[in-house]
Amino acid sequence: MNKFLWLVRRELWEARVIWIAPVICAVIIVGGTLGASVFSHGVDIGGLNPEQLSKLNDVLRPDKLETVIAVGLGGMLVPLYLVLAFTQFFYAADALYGERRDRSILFFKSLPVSDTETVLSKLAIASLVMPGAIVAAGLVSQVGVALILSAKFASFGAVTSHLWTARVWGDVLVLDGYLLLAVIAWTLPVVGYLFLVSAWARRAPVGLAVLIPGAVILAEWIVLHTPHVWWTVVGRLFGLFTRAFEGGTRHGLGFTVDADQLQVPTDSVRTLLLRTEFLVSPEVLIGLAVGAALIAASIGVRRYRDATI
Amino acid sequence: MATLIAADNLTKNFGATRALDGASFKIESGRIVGLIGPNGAGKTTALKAVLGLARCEGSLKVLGLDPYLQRDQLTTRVSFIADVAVLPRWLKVSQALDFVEGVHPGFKRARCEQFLARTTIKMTSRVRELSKGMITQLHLALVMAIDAQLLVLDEPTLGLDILSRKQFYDTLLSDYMDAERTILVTTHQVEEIENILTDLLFIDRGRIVLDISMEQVAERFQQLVVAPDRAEAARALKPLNERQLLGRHVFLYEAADPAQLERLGEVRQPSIVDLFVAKMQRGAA
Repeated sequence: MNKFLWLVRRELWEARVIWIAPVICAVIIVGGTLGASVFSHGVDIGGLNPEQLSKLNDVLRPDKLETVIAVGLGGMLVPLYLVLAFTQFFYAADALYGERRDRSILFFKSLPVSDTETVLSKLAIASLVMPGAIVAAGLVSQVGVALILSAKFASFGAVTSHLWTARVWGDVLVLDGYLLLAVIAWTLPVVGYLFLVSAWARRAPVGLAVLIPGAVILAEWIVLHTPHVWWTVVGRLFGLFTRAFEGGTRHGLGFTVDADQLQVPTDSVRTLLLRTEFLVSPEVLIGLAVGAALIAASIGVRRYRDATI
Repeated sequence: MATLIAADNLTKNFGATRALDGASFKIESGRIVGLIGPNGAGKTTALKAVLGLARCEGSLKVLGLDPYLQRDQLTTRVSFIADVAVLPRWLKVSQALDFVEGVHPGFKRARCEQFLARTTIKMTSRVRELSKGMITQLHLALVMAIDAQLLVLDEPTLGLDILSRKQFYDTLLSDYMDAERTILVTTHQVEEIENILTDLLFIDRGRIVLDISMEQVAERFQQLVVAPDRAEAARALKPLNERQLLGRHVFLYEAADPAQLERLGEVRQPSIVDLFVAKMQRGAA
C-alpha cells in the first residue's frame, strides 16, 4: 500500500463518522421503509403510494413507468446529501486544526510525509470518500427499498417486474453517479475554504468558518446595500439540487402529479442528464478553480506556520 | 567525524521578540549533545530550525541539506520526539506501528515489536488508555526502530516520574545509541542526562554561550569550596560565580590554575547544573 493510501487510512481510523454516518443512514432508510411497509399503508415513492404506483402499470408505457421508478429511487439521495453536508462541514473544519490542538501534528511532521500529501489525503476523504460512502449508502438503500416495495406490490397483486429492469437500475446508477460528480465539484470550494480556516484558526474553527462569511455579508449590506455575497453563500450551500437538476427538469426530468394526471418525460434519465450541462457550467468551473486555490493555500499554511497552536 | 549540523549566525524574530540572536554551533556525528538553556532561551526555536519547522536567517545545514527547503528529504534521515503528549490519543498501538511502517522506509517493525515486548503495552490499546510513561515508551520504541542518523529530543521526559525518566535514557543508551547515530536533546532535568552527554551547548537569549565537550568541561572548569576566611582570596581569582553552601563558599572558575585553587580549599569538577547556573547568572549580570 503506498504512502498516500496509508494517510487516507489514518483519517478513517481517526474520524469514524466517515463510514458510520452512511451506514446509519442506510439502516434508517431501509429500516424505516420496512417498518412503514409492515405497519402502515403509506409507503410511497415519488409521492405515490404502492397502490397508485401499481395502477400506473395499466396507464403508462413501461419505459415511462421505469423512469418514474428510477427518479423516485434517485430522490432518496436528498436526505443523505444533507447528512453528507453536515459531516463534511465538521470534518473539513477540524481537519487541519485538530492535529494542532492535540499537538499530534508534531508526531506526523516527524515522519517523511509532506504537507501536500497530508492535505491531499484529507481532501480525498472530504471530497471523494465521504461523498462516495454516502452515495454507496444511497445505492444500498435504493436496493433495500426496491426489495421492500417489490414485496409490498406483490401483496397487492401488482406486477413488480418493472422495478428490476436494466433500464431502471441503469438510470439509478446514472443518477447516483451524476449526483456524486455534482457533489464533489459543487462542494470543493466549500471544503477548500474550511481547510484554510482549519489550518489558520488559533481556536474555534467552526465558529470562525461561519463568522467570516457572516461578517462579509454584513459589511456588504451596510456599505453597498447589496446581498450578492449572501446569495452566493446560500446558493453554494443549499442550491446543489436546484442547480444540478434545473437543466434536467427544464427538459422534463422528473415527474409531477397534478389532479391525478401524471406528467412523465418521454426521454430516458440518461438523455436528460446529458442536457443539463451543469458540470461544465461557469459556476462549477469557477468553483473548482477557487477550491483548488484554497487547497493550495491550506497546504502553504500547514507548511509554513508554527506547527502548534 | 562528519559534521551533521552546521549552524552559523541563526537569527529568528517573533514580532519584537528575538528568539535566536546569531546562534552558531556545529554537531558532529556519533555525539550526544545537550542543548540547555532557561525558558525562552531559544531552545525549541533552534530545534525547530534544525527540523525544518521554522525558517531562520543565517546559514543552517543538517546532513548537508537545507532543513527548511528540503524538509521532505530530511525527514527520512532524522527522527524527532517533541514531548510525551504528541501521539494522537485515538491511535491504537497496532495502528501506530502499521502507519509508521507504511510511511517510513527506514522503519523496522520487528525491532519495534521487540522493544514493546519488554513493556506492558498491549497492541490493542489506544494511546488514550496508556499512562504517560507508557506513551513515552511507545514513542521511543517507534523512533528507535527507525534507521535515522539524527534523533532530536525536545523535553522527551516532561511530566514523567523518576523511574520512567531513568528508563527512557537507559533504553536510549543501551538499545539505540551507536557510533553512527547522533542525538540532540533538550531538557530541564539536566542532572539526569549529565552522564550520557558527550557535548554541551548552553543557549541564553538566543545566543550560544557555551559550546564544549564533556572532556573539556573537566579541563576548563573547576569548582572550589573554601572556608569563609579564604573567601576573599578566592574572590581575587575572579570566579565566574559564587554561592554559599552550609557555611562554606563555593566558587566556579574558568581556565584557572588548579594548583593555585588547591592551596585555598577543596577543588571539584562542577556539575552541569552548577556550570549552567554560573553561566546564566553571568549572562544576566
